[in-house]
Amino acid sequence: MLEKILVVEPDKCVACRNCELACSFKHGGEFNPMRSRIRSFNYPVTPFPISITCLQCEDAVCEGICPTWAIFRDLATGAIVIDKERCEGCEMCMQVCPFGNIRLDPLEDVAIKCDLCGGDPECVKFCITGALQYVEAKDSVRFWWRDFVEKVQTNKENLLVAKERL
Amino acid sequence: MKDPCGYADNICTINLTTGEVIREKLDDDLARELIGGFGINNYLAWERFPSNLDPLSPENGIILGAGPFSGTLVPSNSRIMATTKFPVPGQWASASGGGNLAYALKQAGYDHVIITGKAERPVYLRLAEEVEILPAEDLWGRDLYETTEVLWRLYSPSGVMAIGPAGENLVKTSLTIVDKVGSLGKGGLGAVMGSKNLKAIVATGARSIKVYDPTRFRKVLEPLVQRMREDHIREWWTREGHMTGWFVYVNNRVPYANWSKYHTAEKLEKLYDPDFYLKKVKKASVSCMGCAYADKHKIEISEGPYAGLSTVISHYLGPVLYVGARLDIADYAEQIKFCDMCNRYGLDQQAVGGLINFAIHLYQEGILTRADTDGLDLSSPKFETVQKLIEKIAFREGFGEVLADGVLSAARKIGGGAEDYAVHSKGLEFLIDGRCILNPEAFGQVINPRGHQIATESITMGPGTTPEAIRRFNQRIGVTPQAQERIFADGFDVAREARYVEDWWALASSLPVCFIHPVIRFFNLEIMSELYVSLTGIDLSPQELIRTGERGVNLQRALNVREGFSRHEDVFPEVWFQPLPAGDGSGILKLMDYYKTRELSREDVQKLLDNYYQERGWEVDSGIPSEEKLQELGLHQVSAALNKILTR
Repeated sequence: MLEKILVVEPDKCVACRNCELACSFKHGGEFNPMRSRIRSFNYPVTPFPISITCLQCEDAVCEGICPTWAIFRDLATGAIVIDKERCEGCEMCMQVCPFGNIRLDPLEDVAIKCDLCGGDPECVKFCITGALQYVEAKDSVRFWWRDFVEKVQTNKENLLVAKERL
Repeated sequence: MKDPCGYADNICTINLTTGEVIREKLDDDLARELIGGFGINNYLAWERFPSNLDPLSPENGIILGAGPFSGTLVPSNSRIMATTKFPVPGQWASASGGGNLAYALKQAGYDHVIITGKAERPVYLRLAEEVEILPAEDLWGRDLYETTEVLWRLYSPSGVMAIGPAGENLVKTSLTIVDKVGSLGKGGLGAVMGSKNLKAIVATGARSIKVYDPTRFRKVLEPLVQRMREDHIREWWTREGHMTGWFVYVNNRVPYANWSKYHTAEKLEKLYDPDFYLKKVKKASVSCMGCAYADKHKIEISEGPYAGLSTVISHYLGPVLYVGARLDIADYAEQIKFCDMCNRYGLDQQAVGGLINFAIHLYQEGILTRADTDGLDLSSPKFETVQKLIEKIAFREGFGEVLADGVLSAARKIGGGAEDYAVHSKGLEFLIDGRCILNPEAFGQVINPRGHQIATESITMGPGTTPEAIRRFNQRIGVTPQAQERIFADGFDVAREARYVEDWWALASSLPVCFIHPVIRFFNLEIMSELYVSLTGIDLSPQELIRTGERGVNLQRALNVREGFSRHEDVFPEVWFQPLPAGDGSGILKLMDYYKTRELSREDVQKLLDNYYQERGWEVDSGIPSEEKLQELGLHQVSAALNKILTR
């Protein structure tokens, strides 16, 4: 069980995409959302703004499928991480991830994913709205999502739009 | 430039007639002297284009400019600057808009793009690793939103700038919109694109933007982001956008009946209550790339004749101010339909609202009759009639042909004293009424080449900002103590103040950083300089940096001097001198100074113009940049060229 988790409070996010920029800046020293481990969506793709990144699954399928054993759990942070040196860029992990949270680095041709920045996530620091938070896993954040889902459900049109576009 | 940090290091010239594409490196000195965006755009306009060209001819160009900050983590940097010779008022000027285009342009690998010539058939431009001029016959005639959506589907992620049918029909009240949210180019940028048979511009790419000194860059950025996170008005701003200023607007800021009456605050509160809008109409906030101060709104109408209408607006002061209040339309749904129609046709909603208002006024005065208006009764028109008028303008049909080119051109076509009723500044709608408040922003409408622009907006937007607060603000933007004394020598000199705010705007437009007040108030000259130096590795002190803004403004003025413009065109709107009963019953509104201590006469405002030119170091009689000023700014060639034209 992870001690701390990276979460997004949906009501606060405005999809400014600064998290993507902060992520690529931290990991590559340059700005390129294509190299970001977190992705931000909004109109017209989704009916509401939201950021998505690796959920660090308990039983991570990417870890199991990697043929070069490049994917493993960092015991200090609990994050699933990829060893760049071992990765062959075969994209198996990208295919099995149920959430599409692993992508191929367009410059280095290796799989990249959120590693929680070693326990100090950069995206959280540069999230102006405070939507991204790195919190104790025991502090349940489900109530955000319950309220949010209720809000979306009361507006059925929005929900239909969401289904159509996703 | 050894390593193109911050910049994409590429200026691209595209000739639509021949299909020729020329790429050049960005000159190091050019970056140092004019930064990017607004500054370099004006330099390119000066360098590459002859004077006295017809705005709608193939010779005219559209210069798109991003800046070093575009696509980086500097908050709110996604501003594209488009420079061209505008059909109205025929001056060179720069329009600025949000959306994703500036960022996409940088990702595609361009700092500036110059588009000239005229394609034989309708085309759109794809800016990626390669430049492609692609056929757009199937897009021609489609509305602006449809066009944007088609191109989004083809290229994702991308930034799309498109025109609607109004631009295709060379309507001079047309504009362009980036990604459905960022409108730019009132005064006919749409028509300029239309005249080139250019339906849209798409930028898409995956290039990285490098940073010269990441550690130093991050060190400035982190506290800035921290301060923005703790900002107590941010959530309010994201929820209501520009409507946060509603309390200022309800008090004598909303005229109707062609600027001859003011709504009362009670009526406005009742009709345009923000609560109703937020509960019933607004669905989500939409932000530009890299901006947490999301102020564009996605809105949907769920009931009534326009149920199902879903659209995006830059801010809902638009429907309220330019449409609802001005044309006295009470129904939110109708206002939004109006804005949606204008956006789809690619029309400037401010101008169209003003034009229809103008036509109604003339009809009521008997200058226009049913015979002139294609049988439409404009005495107190229903919304269906208004819709017909918008359509007529977009397609230049019948009476629409008269209105299409803006209020001044319409007045001249109509004749019979109509020009006396035309309320404009250089042929364009003005927004701030000097009788309500004469702040630098209101004054700025007179000197700006395109009437109202955000360029001189600052903390003096509302009434009664204290001199201490203004002084503190001025300090942040690099106004010298001597200049401060001049500004406050006799009350508060809005003209002298306007010069410094304009320089600040020019710098913010070159870097770029968004100039809406909630964002720009977090920046000062030191922060800008630190960010610029650590990003690009080009060493510029804060003083040198603000100098680049001044250089840009002088270049823009020089461009228009070359076109034959001077002080003669910087005219105060005539209505400002006509006293008007205030909407709140507080008496008569007259043109007064900022703190409302004394009334201003025609001579007084001429004195204001004198002060502005003097503060700029321009010739007071003519409003032309003086030789000394141009030499001081290092614009030697510009100075020599002006000397030749003016034989000075």
